[in-house]
Formats: sequence, structure tokens, C-alpha cells
Amino acid sequence: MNTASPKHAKNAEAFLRDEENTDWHNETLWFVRSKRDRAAQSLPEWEELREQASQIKAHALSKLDDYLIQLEENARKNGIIVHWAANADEHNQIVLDIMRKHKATKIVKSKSMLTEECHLNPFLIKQGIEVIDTDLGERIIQLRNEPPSHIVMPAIHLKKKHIGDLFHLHLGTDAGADDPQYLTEAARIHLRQKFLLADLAITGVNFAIAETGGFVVCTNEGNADLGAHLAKVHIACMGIEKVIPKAEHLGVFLRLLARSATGQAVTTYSSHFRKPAPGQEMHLVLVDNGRTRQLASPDFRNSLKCIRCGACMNTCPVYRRSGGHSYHTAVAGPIGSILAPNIDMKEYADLPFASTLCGSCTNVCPVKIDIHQQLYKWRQVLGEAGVVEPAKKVGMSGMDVLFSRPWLYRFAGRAGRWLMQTFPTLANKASLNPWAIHRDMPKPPEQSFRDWYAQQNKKTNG
Amino acid sequence: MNVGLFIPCYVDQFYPNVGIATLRLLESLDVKVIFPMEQTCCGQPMANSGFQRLSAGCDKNFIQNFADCDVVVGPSGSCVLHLKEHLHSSEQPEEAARLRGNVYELCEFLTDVLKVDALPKARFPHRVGLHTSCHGQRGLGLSSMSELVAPKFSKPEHLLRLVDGLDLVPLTHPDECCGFGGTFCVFEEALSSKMGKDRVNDHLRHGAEVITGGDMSCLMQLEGVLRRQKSSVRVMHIAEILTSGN
Amino acid sequence: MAEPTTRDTILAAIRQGKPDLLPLPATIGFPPNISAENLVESFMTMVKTNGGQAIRVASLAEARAFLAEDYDLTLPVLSHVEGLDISNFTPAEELRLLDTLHLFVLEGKVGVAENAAVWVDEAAIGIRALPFITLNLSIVLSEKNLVGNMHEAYRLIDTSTGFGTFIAGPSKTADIEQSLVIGAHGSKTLTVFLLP
Repeated sequence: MNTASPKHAKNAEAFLRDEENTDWHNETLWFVRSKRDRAAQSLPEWEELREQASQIKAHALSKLDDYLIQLEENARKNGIIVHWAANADEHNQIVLDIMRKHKATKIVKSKSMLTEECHLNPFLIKQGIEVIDTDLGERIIQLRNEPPSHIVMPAIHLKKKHIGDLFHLHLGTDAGADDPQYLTEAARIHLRQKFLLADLAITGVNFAIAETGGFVVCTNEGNADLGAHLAKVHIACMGIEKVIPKAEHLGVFLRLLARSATGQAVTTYSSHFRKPAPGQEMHLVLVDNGRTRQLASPDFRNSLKCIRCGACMNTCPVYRRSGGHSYHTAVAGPIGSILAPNIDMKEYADLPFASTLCGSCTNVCPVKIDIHQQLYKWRQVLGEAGVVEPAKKVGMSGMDVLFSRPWLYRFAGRAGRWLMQTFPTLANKASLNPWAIHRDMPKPPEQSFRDWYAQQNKKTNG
Repeated sequence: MNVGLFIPCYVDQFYPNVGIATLRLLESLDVKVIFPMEQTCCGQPMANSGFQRLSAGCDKNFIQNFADCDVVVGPSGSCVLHLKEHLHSSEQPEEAARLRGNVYELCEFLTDVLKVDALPKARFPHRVGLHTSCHGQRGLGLSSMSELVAPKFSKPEHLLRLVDGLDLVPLTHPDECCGFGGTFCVFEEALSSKMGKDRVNDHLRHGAEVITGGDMSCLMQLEGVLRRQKSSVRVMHIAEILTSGN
Repeated sequence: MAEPTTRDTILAAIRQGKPDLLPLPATIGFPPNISAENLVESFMTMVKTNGGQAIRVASLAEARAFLAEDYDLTLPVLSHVEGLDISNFTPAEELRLLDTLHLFVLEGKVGVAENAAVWVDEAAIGIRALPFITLNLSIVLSEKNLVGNMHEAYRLIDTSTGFGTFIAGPSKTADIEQSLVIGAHGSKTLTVFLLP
């Protein structure tokens, strides 16, 4: 039997050791959630807008084959070269082959969670290619040799002091300087050179439009555009679930995306790519990597509606206090916890349990993914597959034995209360009872409610 | 109307006074209540841990116990939500469906079924913080949610406002999770404790003397933190406050 | 028989696993929350919120005067707006040489009042890198082309050109401790002129 180790719990515990930092992280993310709330409240039609978005995505998934064929056909008519990749390896190889064809050695990348998912960077670097992430947050974590901790704000776990030290080391900024304005300017100058010298640019895709054969990329920094327009070759990589039927549907999604992500009314740039510029080559890579498997599962296919806004992370009380890295996967937080087990059930068996099922994620989701319900369902799947900790499993079968036998339950309850009354220090001993490391156990009462009730009835009935 | 009183296992064992207050509150509102003696647990601890399939015996026992009741009322949003969503029986599917549709959390039973608009005897002259439980709020819809663009309301708050002398304190995060989360409280001990501590601090900062709510599991979590801090602030189930002065 | 391609395998897996057809919503979009008489004011407020500046002008000559005040027009300047003849810069073939551009002015097709996004298309942009590589960006837009929300914008814009983009403010980032910094990789300033 496979068993999952409680990685998230261990990582969270390590994160929580610095309580001041935890509080800072919690408050920083809550600040973003509050901005999202204000943006949502400014639109009276917000809930109906979410419903429309959810329905458009549901429809698109129910005709995904048709829309992908339409997208491919129209993209080809537009002069875009379309590729299909079954998994991460195929995706990475396609990208590499395009680079080899163009003898490209320097590439700039704008943020793409798909390429994170496929571990494209380490693959290319192994081939001797210089890969530069150009989103500021992505560049920061790339210099630190770390994965992103958040899909929208990759370096949200870092304080400006860390970034100041990092830039001093790598970009030659003044020692001790940590003013965000100054550091951002330094990154601008450093990355501008990379943009100007790149042979090839890789971007993600926020939305692909079957009707036009084009795709939309949203950024605030303008890095996707600078990269794509300056390099001779542009490769856009997308998961197959990113396709929507028509351009008019973008009106719905663009109203939701930035408001949900950062509380902005819209991102600074929402760029619609449809044809390569004269003298340029444009590629679109369509990637499955487990998505068709997710689509085939009625319980989990809704997760494919995700537009990667990150709102579920910002609101999640667990994410806010454990940090993105505690999830040990490319996409952290609640949405990551329902996507990751589809890719590797054993490796990510702990993630659906890294939640209290409070449901806040479901409420903020702009496309109405039933995230917390899916977390619950994943728990059942993992329980069934036997990939949860054995201790949990034994305990659970024992519980049913207990609760389906009222006499045993009464006896155990009485015995338990007696035990706690007799040995109160035992119940509060942290090594025996994890509850008691930071919390006290309730004081056990003399009698249970049912004992009291039986006694009352005896008195009344005499 | 035959009302079956459902007292969750941990309330039965650790907080009998909450069961007593619930019973007295319902009786004071002229509700005929029966308490089936062989009831145990709703099955949620197993289901939330990924073992819903192992809770068949538990479900069966619940259905047997409440077969004679028109409605079931329990002082716990979390357990009630679990029953509403997951009570199943392959032998008696219709009975399970009937019970799923007729199980109420105490506050919603008072506001929606009994339509309680006055509690003449209730008096509780204290500063009270209301902890909104996630399963009660987001699961059962007992109150509006800060994430949604929708009119504001709260069934527990409506009831607390009927209590003479009670001063409801505002909170910075009125609907943040307490971190109990069933077995989460043990398997993610560090996180769970921190979440509990942060919830307690919100109430303390706003000067609450008592923290109340509709879910004893959340309150047990908050009480665990308060007692470790040797705080004088207490937790009380909402039924205990609504019957105070009786 | 030839081995199935990745494309065929993916499409077959989708057909196997997809749910029964689900309908599109009966209507797409919503009427704007901003009334016609408030379009200009709302748009201008949002430009400011986005970190840019919006100026109402009676003519292109007036716009030119504002530009002359804010920018050194002897530095490399390029205008794609007919009647605003301030260009002193001819883009070379070599795209990286565009890096010296100090100010680029172009015409916006549609402006959206609820978020101050302005649609600019390929015809107005010319070389695609221009609005992003320039240090300062200015967009000239007719007030007649303001709409309330994005749904209305999509009814007006032509998405069949090779490239087009909504621009809403100067480039920005908050990747360092959520501190908003204007001027990330794209233009550091944005001035929108509203013409009658």
C-alpha cells in the first residue's frame, strides 16, 4: 500500500516557526483579498457575471474537441504554427525543437504556469539555453533558484530586504537598498537588455479564442508584449482548457480576472495576438498533461474552468498562514490542491487535507469552481485508493465500529471522560495528543447529556 | 410536529450543558422534543478524513434513531451540514432522503421554522463576540458571506439581538475560519492552533467577554486557546445565551 | 496503419471524457452601470486610478501644447496620429533600436469607462513593439468612442486584425511586498487626450 507523508503539515509547521513573518504574510495576502472585495462590490452584477463565466467555461469544456479543432484551423489560417503535446515531456521537446531550428540560445519568458507545471526552465537550461523569466516576481525567484509561491504574485513570500540583498548580489544595486521603486527600476534596466537581445520569446495564454484563432495574454508589466514583439519567434504555450468560443466572451472574463486577482478593474495590457508580425514566426502549443483525464471525471472536471486568478489563495486561511511553498507543487493553494492529485495522486495525497473545508475559496472563485467540495471528494478518492496515512485509516474504521454501536459509544465516552478526569495531565500531554501542544483539552464533565436526560426522565416518570 | 433532538457525540460527551440548553430553549418555545437514546454521531469525522464509505453503520444508526421524527434539530451547523449533504442508506434511500431534507441547525430552526422574533426572558448583560462557523455560514447559509455581493443578514445575530443587555462586538474578520476543521486540528496541529489563536485575538481586541456561536467544535477550538492563555474570556454556545435568564 | 498522432489521441480522449453538451448562457454581458453623461468623468477617474493622466482637449493643437510642456520633444518622438506632427524619429528595421524612443503617440479606437482600458489596433500601432518599448506613451481618443463596459467594447472593436491590445495605464508591478510601482517594463507614463 502506498502511503503519503504529511508534507504540507510539516512544511506549514516550519513556516509557522517565524510567527512574525507568518502574520506579515497573512496580512499581505488579506490586503489583496480586501482589494478584491472592493472591486467585486463595485459591480452589482458580480454574482451573475461569475455565473455567466462559469457557464461559458462549462459549455466550452463540453465541446472542447470542436473548439480546439476550430482554434487550430483558424490559427493556421492566420499563419500561426500549431502543436499538440500529450504531456510535459512532449511540450518541452516541441519548444526545444523550435529553438534548435532557429538556433536560438537566448530566450525571454513571461509568466506561464503551464511551463512551471512542465518544468520547462530546468529542461532548457540543461540544454545550455539561457532562459530569463521577465515578470519581476518570477525573475526574483529565478535568481533565488526557487519555485513561485503564488500564481499571480510569485515572490509574495519575500520581504523587500531579501530582494534588496538579492539584487545587490546579482544586479549590483546598492548594498542595503530595499526601496521597491529603486529595485524595480534596476530590474527594468537589467531585463530591458535581455528583451533586446532575445532570439525567442515564450508566453503563456490567458484565453484562446476558437472563433478568431487568436489568443489573449494579460500582464501589468508589459513583459509579455516586449518579449513577443521584439523576438523573431514567439511561442505561446497553453493548456487545452484555455479555449473559449468567441471574442465577445472575453468581455465577461476580463471583467472578472483582474478584479479577482488583484482588485484592479483590468490588467494594464490585455493583448490580443492573432497573426505573426511580418518577418516573425508565431507558435501555439496545446498541452494536455492530464487535462483530458480531469475532464473525464464528473467530480473534478469543473477545476478545468480555472482562469488562474489566484483569488482562492488570497482568501485561504491555510494558504495565508503556510505560504505557497508548503504545497510543494507549481500551483499552490486550494486550486492547486485539487489539480495536483490528478497529476500524481501519491505525491500530492496530502494536499486535499491541507484545508478546513471552510468554503471561502469557492465563494471568491470567478468561475464558480466548487473547490472545497472537490477537496472533500479528493479525500474520498484518496481514502479509497489507500494513499492516506495508515494511522488515519485504522482510526477511521475504528470510529465506525464505535459509532454504529451505541452501547460501545456510551461505554467509550464514559471511559474517556473518566480517564480525562482521573489523569488530566495525560490528556494535555503534547506527546500523546497533538491537540494539546498549543491548546488545552475541554474539562470533562461528570455526566454526558444522555446520562442527564435519562436521569431527568426517571425523575419525571418517577 | 415531532421534533427529534440530535445532540452530536462530542457535545453529548464534553458539553452536556449545551444539550440541556438546547432542549430547554426548544421546550420554552412550546416544541415537543424527543431525544432518541441510541443516537451517536453523524459520521462527519470519518467522511472528512476520506472515509465516507466507512460510515455506513453510523448512517444506519442515525436513520433508525430518527425514523419517527418529522424534523431533526441539532445545535451544530457542521454536523447538520454533513447530514444534509451526505446521510445515505442503500437499504432505506427514501428515509435517508427524507431526513436530509428535514434536518435543521438550531438557529435556522428558530428563525425559519418557528419564526422567533422575541425572547422575552432572555437577558445576558455582557460584551459578546459572535464566531460564525464556516459550515453554518457557507454550508447552510445561516448568514451572508463577506466574499459575495449580496444583501447582509445573519440568523444567529438576529437571535442574539433579541437578548436583553447583550452587547455584540464588531470583528475585523467576521467570517474567518477558526481552524478546527475536524481531524485537521490534529493532522495540521501547528496551522490549526495558529488559526485558533488569530480568531481569539480578533475577539479579544474588540473587548469580547464571551465568545459564542452555533458550533461547539469551533468553540472548543477557541476555548482550547483561551484556556492555554489562562484568559478570563469564556465560550458559550448560542443556546446557552438564548436561555440565560430563563 | 499509421500510429495515431498526439492530436488524434488528445481529441479522442476529450470525446471519450467530455460531459454532454452544456448550453451557453442565454445572454452574454450586462448593460453598463455608468450612464452616458458620466462616461467622460468615469473614464478620467479610472485613468488616474490606473496611474495615468487624462486630459480633455478641444483640438490636437491643444494636445500638442500639453505634450510640449510635459516632455522634451527634441528627444526621439514618434506620432502615428494624423494632424499631430511631432515626429522626429524614423524606426529602423532593427527592432532593438526602438529602445531610444522617448515618446510615442497613437490613436485609440475605443475607451472603456469602467476601467479606462483603451483599445489600440495594429493599424494605429504600426510596429507592435512601439507602445511597450517607448518610455512614455500617449493615446488620443475621441469622447464619442467611449463606452460603459467591456461587453460594449467587444461589440465595437475588430478582433480580426493581426494584433490589438487594451491599454489601461502605464506599466506597473506590485511584486515587491505589494508596493505599487509605476513603470515596470512597458511605458512609465500614460497620457490620454480626450477629444470632442
